[in-house]
Amino acid sequence: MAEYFPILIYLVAVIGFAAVSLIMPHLVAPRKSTPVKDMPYESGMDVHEDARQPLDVKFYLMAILFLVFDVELLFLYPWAVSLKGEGGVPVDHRGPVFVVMMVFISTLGLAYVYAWKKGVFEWRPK
Amino acid sequence: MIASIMPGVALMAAGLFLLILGMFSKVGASQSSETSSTPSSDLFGWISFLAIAIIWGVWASSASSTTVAADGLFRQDFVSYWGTHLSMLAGALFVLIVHGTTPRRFASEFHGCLLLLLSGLIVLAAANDLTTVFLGLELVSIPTTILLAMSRDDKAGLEAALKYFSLSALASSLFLMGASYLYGIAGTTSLDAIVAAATSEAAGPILPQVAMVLILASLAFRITAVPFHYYAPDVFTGTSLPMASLMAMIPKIAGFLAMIRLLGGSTLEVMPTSVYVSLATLALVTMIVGNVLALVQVDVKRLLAYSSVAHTGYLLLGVLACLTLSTSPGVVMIYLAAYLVMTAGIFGGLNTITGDPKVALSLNDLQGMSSRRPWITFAMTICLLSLIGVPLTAGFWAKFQILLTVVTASNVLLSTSAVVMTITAAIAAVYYLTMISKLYTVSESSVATQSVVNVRLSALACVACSALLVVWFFLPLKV
Repeated sequence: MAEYFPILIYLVAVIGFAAVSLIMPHLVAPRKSTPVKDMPYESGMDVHEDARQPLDVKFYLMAILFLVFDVELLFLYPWAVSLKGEGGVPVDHRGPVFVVMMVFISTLGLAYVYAWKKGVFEWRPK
Repeated sequence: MIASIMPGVALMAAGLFLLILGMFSKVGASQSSETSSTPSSDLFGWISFLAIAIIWGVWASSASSTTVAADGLFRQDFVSYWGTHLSMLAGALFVLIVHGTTPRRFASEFHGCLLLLLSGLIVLAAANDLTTVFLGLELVSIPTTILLAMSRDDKAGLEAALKYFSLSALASSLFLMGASYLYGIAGTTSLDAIVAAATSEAAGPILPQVAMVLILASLAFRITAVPFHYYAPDVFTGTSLPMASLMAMIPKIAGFLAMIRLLGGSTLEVMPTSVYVSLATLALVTMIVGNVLALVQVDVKRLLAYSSVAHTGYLLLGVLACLTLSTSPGVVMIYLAAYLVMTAGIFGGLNTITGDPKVALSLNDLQGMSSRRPWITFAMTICLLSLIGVPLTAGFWAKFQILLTVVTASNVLLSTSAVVMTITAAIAAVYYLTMISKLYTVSESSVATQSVVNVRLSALACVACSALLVVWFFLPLKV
């Protein structure tokens, strides 16, 4: 355990530094509030309206749809890489694996058609 | 692919078919009324009921409880056989209760998600691998959240959905954390190999315990065991009556099937003592807290939520006794089946009281029920008596068999638990009998008798369940 002694010192120093820098300002820092100081800080710019604005739900739908294709690609890669390579899918398993992948892709295609029919792609509904 | 998950695959196909059908149907086009009892919007309910009935019938005519087979990811055995029966039973009863109250705009999605959820239960019942257990749990919990969130114009319902969503995500992550430890110990996700690896010297004493405690915490959330029960009363109160019945039935089946799958392969010699003791503590605390807190509730849905917590305690005791004796968990399956029928019956009956499933229902709202609907009140009384566990109902056999197994297992911990179970079951009689006495109180003022939804099938479910409970007493099921 002796060789871990430097790590213990390091740990004490790190925690001590964090604790001191959190506690000291409360004890010694001067408190003079001005209107400018009391403003919410927003990347150095003047705040002009409420931060809690409603955001169109369509952005979330788009993000979910992006995920559909993202995940599809993620699953296609291992299949493409290991299909004919050495140590990949055995020859007599290629048929079943192909069928499984087709089922997977058509399920995602179905999800796409579903979103289409539900009018997700119409940015401004009629 | 082995036969035990074929009903799950068929249900999934039926669920996807319903979703496709919804895309092309004109029902969703009119957005004038959210709920409706016109025949067109119940079309999906009928399709989903037919799908469950046909798949259940076809599967039941060929399956047998004694076939044992495994192919790595899935197994076929006693648990998968009875788990599939339980899932189909819960699905069929829920479709009857929810009939006519589904949001009109989302009718096809509602029933599509319901069928996907049932297929998740069947995957869980047949799981033989950590990955398939997790797949089953998620396939149950994600559609449950969607079903809860479908009442979009109802703030309390949305709050309940959000609460369930965030907590079930937390439970899933706890499960994954525990599963990753098990994978780290065994180097494989196969449950059989994990049992062998966890007991070997190389695993050490700590890691298997950490893994099992994390997984048990996650499953305790699903089955609403104390102290992971806090969400249940709030979700029950916030959501509609039919959805509350779903919350009482489905996550409980899912959690217990997963627990039986994960612990069932290991006998007591390989299970760490700490896990055994924590399971027993969970059972004891759940029985006591569930029953005592149910005493002080005035809201009917909240009361039933605590009653469902209490029943989790009895079921946990059954699981523990079966593990101790290394027997197949037949008593747990019987108790779950009886619990499903009793719960569906009582919720179906409550649904007919107000006719508006979203309204809050206090104990005093039950007054005067017997003069308005004498037959349904009688059926509800049978269901409540069965929940107490009095003879002449199935609830008696269910409790009796669990108690018998616990006494047979006879170690100090289980004998103490048997005493606690008997006492808390007597406490439970107080609040169930209060409900019965309220039902038969004559009262002038009462909630609206006009139904805004069609409750005929709810009433049918209530009466059928109560009849089944009585028949069950005279023809007890032995598995």
